[in-house]
Amino acid sequence: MSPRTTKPTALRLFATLLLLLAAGEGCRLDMHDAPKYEPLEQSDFFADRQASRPLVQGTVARGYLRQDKLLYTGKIDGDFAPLFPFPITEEILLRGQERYNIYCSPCHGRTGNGRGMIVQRGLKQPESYHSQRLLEMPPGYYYDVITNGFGVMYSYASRIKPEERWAIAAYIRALQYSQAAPLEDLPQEDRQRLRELQ
Amino acid sequence: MARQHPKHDHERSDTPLRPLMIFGGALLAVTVAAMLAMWGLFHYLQDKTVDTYPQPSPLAETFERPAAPLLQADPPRELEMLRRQEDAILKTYGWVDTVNNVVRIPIERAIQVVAEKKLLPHRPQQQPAVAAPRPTEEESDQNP
Repeated sequence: MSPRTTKPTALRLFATLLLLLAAGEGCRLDMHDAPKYEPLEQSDFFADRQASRPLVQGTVARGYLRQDKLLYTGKIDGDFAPLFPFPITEEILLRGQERYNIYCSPCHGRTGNGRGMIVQRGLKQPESYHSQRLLEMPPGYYYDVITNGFGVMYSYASRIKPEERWAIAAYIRALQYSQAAPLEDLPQEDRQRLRELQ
Repeated sequence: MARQHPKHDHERSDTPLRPLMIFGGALLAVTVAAMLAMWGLFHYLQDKTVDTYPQPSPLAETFERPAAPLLQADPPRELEMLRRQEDAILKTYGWVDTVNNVVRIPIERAIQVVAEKKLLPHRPQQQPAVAAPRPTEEESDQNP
């Protein structure tokens, strides 16, 4: 076979192959043109003529079932809860202390006197936890403030889990107790140390 | 070739240099004269002010602090000072009210006492128990 006849034949074959490839590409629709509803498209099938269907009534997103009202709202029958939803152990108090020092102390100060570093730089001073008003507030109040914010304080709900909000509320109670503990409540060893200070 | 208009023709002489030099020199002279006049006026008015008002005593000089919020000149040191002040309260024993026997105790001790004596009331646990927060660093993905 001479080169003169080979070359045009090869070219024809190559051109044919290219044409087949181009034509074949048009045949690959896959699901690009599947029979489906576009978002917000009209539908004649449903009575409300909306293709996009609403959620079934009573649907709850995963992780959002809030059956325990006390745990998730801090309230009982609409009033701030005077108790915690679970027993407060030393472990929980230490966890609350850690969370408090991270999230609360920049404004409230580690002592809870409302003189954190940010307040010393000009932010409005929050009320001291050791004021008579806040000493009398029930733990549900602290949970509610952390959840929903208060004054210039924004909500910390997206940052602190509900259980940890209670842990912080418990730690605030311990903080208040540490600064105004009745002597008769304390163990003998602590009383002895305090007697030495007198 | 287009006919040239007699009034529209190229310049047949160079730019006259003398008027430009005179103008530039005059401009420089006026500028220097204005600066000298301002300098003289400034000193004249300053001397007049000093003569008019009594000199304050050097002891009367006060340092005016900048307006709040105060800027931090040395943030690490200031934070350390704040921590020390807080630790002096949070880590020591002390008397708050000797008459009514109210005292201050270290926060770590307060945590132990509150937990041991079960000073914080909680809901009876016959209801489904709630998992206590675990000391992990997991970030919550649950909003209220």
